[in-house]
Amino acid sequence: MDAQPEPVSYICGDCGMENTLKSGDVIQCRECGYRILYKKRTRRIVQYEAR
Amino acid sequence: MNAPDRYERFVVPEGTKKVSYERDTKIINAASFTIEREDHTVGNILRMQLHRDPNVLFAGYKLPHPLQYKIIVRIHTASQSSPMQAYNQAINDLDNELNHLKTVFEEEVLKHSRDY
Amino acid sequence: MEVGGGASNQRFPKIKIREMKDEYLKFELRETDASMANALRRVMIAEVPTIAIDLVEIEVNSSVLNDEFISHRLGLIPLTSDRAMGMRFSRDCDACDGDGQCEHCSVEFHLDVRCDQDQTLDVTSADLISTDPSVIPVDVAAKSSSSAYDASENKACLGLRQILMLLCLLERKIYRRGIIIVKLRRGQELRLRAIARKGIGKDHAKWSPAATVTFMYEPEIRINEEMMESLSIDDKRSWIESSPTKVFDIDPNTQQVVVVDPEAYTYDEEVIKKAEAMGKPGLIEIEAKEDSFIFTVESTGAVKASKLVVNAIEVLKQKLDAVRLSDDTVEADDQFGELGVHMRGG
Repeated sequence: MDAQPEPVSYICGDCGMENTLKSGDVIQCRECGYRILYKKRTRRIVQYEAR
Repeated sequence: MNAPDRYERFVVPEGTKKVSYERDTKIINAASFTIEREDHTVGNILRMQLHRDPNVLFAGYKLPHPLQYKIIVRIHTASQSSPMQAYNQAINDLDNELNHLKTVFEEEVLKHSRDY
Repeated sequence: MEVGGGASNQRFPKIKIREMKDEYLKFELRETDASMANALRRVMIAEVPTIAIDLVEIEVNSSVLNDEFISHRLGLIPLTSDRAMGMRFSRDCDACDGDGQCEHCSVEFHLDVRCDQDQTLDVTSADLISTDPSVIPVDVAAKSSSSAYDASENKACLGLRQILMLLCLLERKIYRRGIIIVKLRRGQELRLRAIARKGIGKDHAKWSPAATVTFMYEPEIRINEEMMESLSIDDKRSWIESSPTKVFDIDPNTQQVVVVDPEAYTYDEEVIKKAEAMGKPGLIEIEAKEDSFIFTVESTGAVKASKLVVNAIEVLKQKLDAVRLSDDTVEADDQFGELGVHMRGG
């Protein structure tokens, strides 16, 4: 399998900008240089039992 | 961790009969009815109705275990009748009583909503 | 199988309704056994079917509550369930392709809210959009039907009318906003799809249509008048006061102790103990009538209180019918019993 056909975007912890990163990239926000990035919520629809 | 699923309380699994019975080998006209997936709601009402039958010598129910969802109803009858007969008669009587109750209640509701 | 000996031991219960509102019903049930009263109570609470949200598919949730928290809250919202008695359970439905989401056995809801203003946005049950207008959240249904009662206030005089209309508007603002599911800040969004199914309270309490169902035995109170005469007025008063609820009072005209509200008696025996303490045992006799019950039924609004009782009777009948001995049960046993062996000439 090839490494992620679509680039994954992460959210910066400080400024909230979306950064697209590929595998092997430096983990750093492009705008403010903050080094903690959060993953976005999955696109899949999650199902729950209302119990 | 060991608790059974909630729907086990009322869904009878494939292959299991809802009602089955075993005659008592040592006493004539005595039988134990096992009703799957029922509880005190049906057990108590059936037992009290069986008590009203003059042919029934003994009628009782129990839940063998609170986590096993079934009841066992034990009936001894006099020789004129059989436990199965007493059981069916009790259910018929309860059915009729409920029909009567429904009619009476609906009439009362109509009367009450008309008067107010 | 012997036929005959079918003497009926049926009872003929009587009902008298005392008070009836949409969600509250008080009635008397007489000439039946306590087991019947209790069975009705148990069925009303746990086995009358209703419709409630059972499956939630969340697309977007950036609110402060997590997905399963919101799903749990959605399940607890009461929905108008007049359709429930006629609907099939999802597990019994053969029309859908196995996922239990077809139109015959379920109702679909959508929720799509985003907060774009600075003020906190309340996501309420009013934001739940149903695909079936007969199944909607109970408070939304009540809100739309009560807007009719504004018109009746016009009969009041001028000043009073303004006050009444203000009260009505206030009530709407405060009490009728709809059940709050979650609150959103600017930028937060909630988008989901929910499937509501038929179920019973035994499975999960969200499906219980009853808020409370209680019954009490009707008390029969007999005052020993001769012994009562021997009490001074102060003694009588202190005896009356010993009851935690107001059951007795002194008649202003005759200065006798009378029963003012027998049903306020909660079967605590305080008055009996007080009578004994005062040295007058047997002053009063209180007995519970064994076959007379006073029911109080309060519904959540999913089903009307009177309909709840009718449905309960129907469900109890269905349960008893399911428990009947069918012919094949009897035959299966007869084959193995001694009588069966006899009959077959064994």
